[in-house]
Amino acid sequence: MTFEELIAVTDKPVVASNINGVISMINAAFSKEYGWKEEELVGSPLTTIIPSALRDAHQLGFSAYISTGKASLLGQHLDLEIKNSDGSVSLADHYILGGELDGKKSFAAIINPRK
Amino acid sequence: MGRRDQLITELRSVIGRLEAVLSSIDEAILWTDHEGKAKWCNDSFAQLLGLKRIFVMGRDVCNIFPLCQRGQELPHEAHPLSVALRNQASQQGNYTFGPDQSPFVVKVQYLETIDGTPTTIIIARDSSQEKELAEYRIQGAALAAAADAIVILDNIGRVHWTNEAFTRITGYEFKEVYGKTLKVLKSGYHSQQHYKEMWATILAGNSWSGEMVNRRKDGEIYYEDQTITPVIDAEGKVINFIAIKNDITEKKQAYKFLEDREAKLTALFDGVIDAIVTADSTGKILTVNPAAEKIFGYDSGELEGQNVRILVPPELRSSHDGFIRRYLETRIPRVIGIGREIEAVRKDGSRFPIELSINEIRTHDATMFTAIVRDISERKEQERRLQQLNEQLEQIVDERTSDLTRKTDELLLEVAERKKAEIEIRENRELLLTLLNGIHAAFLIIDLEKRVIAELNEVAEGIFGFSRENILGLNCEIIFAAQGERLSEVCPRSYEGGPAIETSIVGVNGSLIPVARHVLPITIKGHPHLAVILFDISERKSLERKLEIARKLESVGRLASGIAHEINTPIQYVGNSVLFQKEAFDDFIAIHELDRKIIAECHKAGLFPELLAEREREAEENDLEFIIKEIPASCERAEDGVSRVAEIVRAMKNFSHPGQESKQPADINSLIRATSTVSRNEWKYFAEMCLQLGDIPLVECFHGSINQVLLNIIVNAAHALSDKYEETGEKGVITISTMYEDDNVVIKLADNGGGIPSEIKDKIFDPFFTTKEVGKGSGQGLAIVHDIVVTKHQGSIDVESVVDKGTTIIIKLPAGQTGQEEGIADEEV
Repeated sequence: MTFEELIAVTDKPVVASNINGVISMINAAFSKEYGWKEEELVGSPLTTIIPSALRDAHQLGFSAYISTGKASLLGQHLDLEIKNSDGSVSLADHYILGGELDGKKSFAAIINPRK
Repeated sequence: MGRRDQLITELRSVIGRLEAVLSSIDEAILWTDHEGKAKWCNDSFAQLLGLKRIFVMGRDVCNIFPLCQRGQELPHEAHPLSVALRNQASQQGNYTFGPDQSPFVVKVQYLETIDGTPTTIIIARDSSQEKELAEYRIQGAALAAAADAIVILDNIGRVHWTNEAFTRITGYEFKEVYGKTLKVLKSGYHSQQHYKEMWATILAGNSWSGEMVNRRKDGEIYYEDQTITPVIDAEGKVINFIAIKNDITEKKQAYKFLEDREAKLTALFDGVIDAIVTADSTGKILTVNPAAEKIFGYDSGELEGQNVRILVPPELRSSHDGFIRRYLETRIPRVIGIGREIEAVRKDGSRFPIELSINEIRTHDATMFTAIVRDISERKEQERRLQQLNEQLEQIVDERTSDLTRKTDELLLEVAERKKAEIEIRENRELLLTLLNGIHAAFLIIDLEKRVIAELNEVAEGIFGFSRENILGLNCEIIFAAQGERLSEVCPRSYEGGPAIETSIVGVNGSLIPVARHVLPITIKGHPHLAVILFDISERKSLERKLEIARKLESVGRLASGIAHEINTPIQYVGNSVLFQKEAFDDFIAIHELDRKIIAECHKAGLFPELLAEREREAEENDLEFIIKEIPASCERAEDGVSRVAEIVRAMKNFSHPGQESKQPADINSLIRATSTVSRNEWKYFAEMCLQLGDIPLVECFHGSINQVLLNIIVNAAHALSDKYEETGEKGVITISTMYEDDNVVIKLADNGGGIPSEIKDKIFDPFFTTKEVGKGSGQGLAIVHDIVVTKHQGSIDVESVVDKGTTIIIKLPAGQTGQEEGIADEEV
């Protein structure tokens, strides 16, 4: 699956961020699954949907990737926790790819809930 | 890009590079939050844990990084991270981690931050290559492997570490007691004072040792030897205690067992009534029990140290040492382990019989002997007396035995005789029962006083329709109420008159059964009873009646035959005379006609006028013309009457045939004709007789019997028709037809009378059954008919009857019988 194909997915929850870790897009399936509205998330940092225990790890890892370009998580299926809009936390399969969105370096992920 | 974004980018770059630097450090580094959860770790730590870095984040570190100390896995609260967070102080120590127990120096740095939540940095360093720690590890292994339980406590007695032996002895896992005092082991055996003294000792820096009674986890009490040693730091302060515990429960139990056994043995030794003497291999007495001193007559303590030979008879003393020596050399026992009866000597020199058993006790450095001596003087005396008694007893037994044998033989004989008698009685009783049930007589025993039924047999059950169990012991007058006026026949009130009478009783269905009754007075258990025996004599009665009728008919037949014969001759005279008269009169008339002509001529001539007038007067007075006219008619009537009489006489002769002793061929048709003639008087007023006699062969039969059959049936038919037509003035029809079918001559006698009701159709051939009023019918007619046709002639008889239409009797007689059947003259008609 290419980055372009990933961001075009509509039947599964998809979220995208820019290179600063700010959310640039979510699709309707994402809103439906996790309860977040587009206006709540777009422009907010990714840590909004990351449980607090993982926030520092995220920032460190994200920064390290930006600085060194060494990716450890891209292109793999990872079971990680995600924070829902009602504050609860649930387990979901994360599949993250990097690419260009509107001419800017970006990241996008399919975050499929584990049932 | 705004300044803010630029700042973010710069910060991200710094953080990113810092992360990369930290990641590349060889030492395992992990950063936790205030709850002990991993915020971040470097590659080395992730590798140590065997996890992908992303999966370490957010996890509880005590769970993913469990540590052991001296072989014991630390409970969470003992994990250095937990201790650091709890005590808000950094920790460092030597631990092992992983399945292969690799040694690590683990340092937990506790960090307070300005924004509030404290964090820790854990640095784990593999110490397996560090030589200075090798000694420590060996000591740790020794502690862990020690057989004694070892507990390291802090300065206020809380458990810091225990080894495996502790768990083995107390049952408590290290995790269960970590951070707690050893109060859990308290058994309650020791006073508060005991613990106070122990604490005072160790807190003063001294070791304490002692035996303690404690309680295991499963509640079992155990004994331990405990040593507690305080560990003192450089400043002389007690910082730890080391407790070493040794489970001595088994040792205690073994010791107690030995003590118990010793006490028991001592009691046995002192209390036993036998003398027990131990001596060494030189024969020197080592110990004696009180019984020995008493038996041999010595004072207390007098025997110890003496040679045992002073206890044996003087003549054996000189060789006694030799006995012992020889045994020690050859080990061939003469007395040892065998036991025998010999003589011994008391202090006063008197001799007495003893039972001696000697046992050898061999220890690693010496041989000793134990002798057990029993004074058997008394026993010997008793044995002698017993022997004497036995002899007497044997003599008595011999006498008694022969006596008993004789009596037994007598008894056996008596028993055999009694058995024989019993068998005889039983056989007699069985015979009697068989007879009673077999003779086909009803048997009743009636208690005369109580009027109850004491016994009855199967035949009586059958006749009266009672079940024995239901009526035994019941009042006989109530039970036999159905007998009505015949009650006294079945259960007489006393033994009146003759023992046997003939009477009749009422049977099950109300029919009368003729019986011969025998009454016998008997006494049962002192009470008067009557035995009533009722023989069913229906059959005999039936035969008797048949015989009576047969005899009657026989004599009537003879009489009829005689009369017929007597009448036959005169009737022939009469017939002949009438014939003569008729013919003579005709002749006379012819002459008379001539005479009349002569008279007429005389008149004309006027001759003899007076004579002619007298003649005319006489002729007128005697009605001459009437006589001339009527005499021939009268002769014809007389002729007719005579021939009728002759016919009847012939028929009677034919019918009666008295004394026929064997079957003779007969023309059934002529028998029918004769019988219908003979019986004419019975039917002529009510019926027309219609004979339709076919062409049939002769039948071998008893003529008289067949006539009787026909007569009976015709008479019955006539009675049936008379019942139906007597008052109407009409007449019925009796039709008798014969035919030949299938080698049988078939006779059908039909009437159009009232028919037979279906409910009595089956009974009409029964003897004594009659529908006729008393005195009119014997009840024997059809029974005899049946007997004659079926029994005597091997024929068959059937009835077809429809009520109000009539009855047809169908008799079939086999044709062509050879007449071999023997007639029974007495029963013949």
